[in-house]
Amino acid sequence: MVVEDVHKVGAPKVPSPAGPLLILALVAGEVVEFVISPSLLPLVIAAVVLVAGLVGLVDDLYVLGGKVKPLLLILAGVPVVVAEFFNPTVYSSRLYFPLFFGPTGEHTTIFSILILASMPIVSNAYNMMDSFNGEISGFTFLTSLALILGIGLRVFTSPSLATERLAIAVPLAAVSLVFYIFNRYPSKVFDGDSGALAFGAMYAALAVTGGVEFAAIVAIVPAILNSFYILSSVRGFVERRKMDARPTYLGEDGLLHASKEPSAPTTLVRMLLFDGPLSERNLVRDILLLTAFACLLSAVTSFLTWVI
Amino acid sequence: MRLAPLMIMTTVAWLLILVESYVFFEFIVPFPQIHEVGALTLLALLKVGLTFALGAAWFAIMFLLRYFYVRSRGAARPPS
Repeated sequence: MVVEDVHKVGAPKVPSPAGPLLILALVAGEVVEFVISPSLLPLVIAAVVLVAGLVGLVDDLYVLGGKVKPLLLILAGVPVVVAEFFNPTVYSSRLYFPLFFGPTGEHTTIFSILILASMPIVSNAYNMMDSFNGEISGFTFLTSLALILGIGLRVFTSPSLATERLAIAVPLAAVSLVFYIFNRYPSKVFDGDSGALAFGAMYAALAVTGGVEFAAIVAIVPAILNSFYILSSVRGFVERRKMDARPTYLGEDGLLHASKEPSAPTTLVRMLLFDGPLSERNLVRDILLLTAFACLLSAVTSFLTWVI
Repeated sequence: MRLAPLMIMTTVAWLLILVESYVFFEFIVPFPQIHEVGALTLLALLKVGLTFALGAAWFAIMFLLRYFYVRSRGAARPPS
């Protein structure tokens, strides 16, 4: 299958979706981890990736509605909650705050609900960052580094925690980095919804099993703001292909401009372009710089939580 | 420096997430359990109300920041 790269003059055709390959690579990484160190955790993460990836694949092939997709993505959290029910070492039902605030008490029910709710929220936030060449792959790689730093600090300052919690996060960084080589400007391949949703669901599951929820949320604040502003602009869950107006348009100068249409969603990209048009390459560079800044705040959060 | 305002928005969101989560888990969640409250349920309503208030505060502040950002750029005002 090929799709048009609409942000380039002449709209060249690009192969898509690479999602199934990405899912396969992520699952293979977890299987290797399971073979090296047999435990439930890598299998839980693999199950999350498979469920979210399957929902994305159906969306790639048949286009799910704006409301159906988030509902189906709740299923991606089920393996985590069920595994914890039968083996209460999968995650901790308490949140760890930075500095002197310390951990909360155990909140089993609220935590289970939050895990199920986090899957569609994080996956869709990732999916909405999947508009330009190299955006989703670069975003996933940077945020996965912040996640790995947070989990690493927690694991190495808590001797009771096995290092496998850190090891199961490595495939996300590795796969997104390799994918970036093919997905960066000018893209040779797109991931499709299957890839973006699998990335997002895996990130959420790793944050929960690693016990670094705060650091993980902080790293993806640009994506959260982006999806929040889109949803508030279009007033609800609307499939992007059915939106009235695009947030950006390709000018005759070959640069991307912010849409002047009042009904166009106010995405992060459109906000960036209010200051003037940019080439796609520079636009993605700015988005990844903003993501790197959020990852820096995430690293500060991790240090304040686990080291100081 | 087109990224500076967005970095400020990200920092504000970061601080709000930390502070509001702390308030939620340390003050709102430990309120008496709903089923332990005999006569319904001023406390339960208060608990739900405060949770929504926290969420609404986050949304309102983020909306406000976007509003000022868009207005300062003289761009088309978003519909919401």
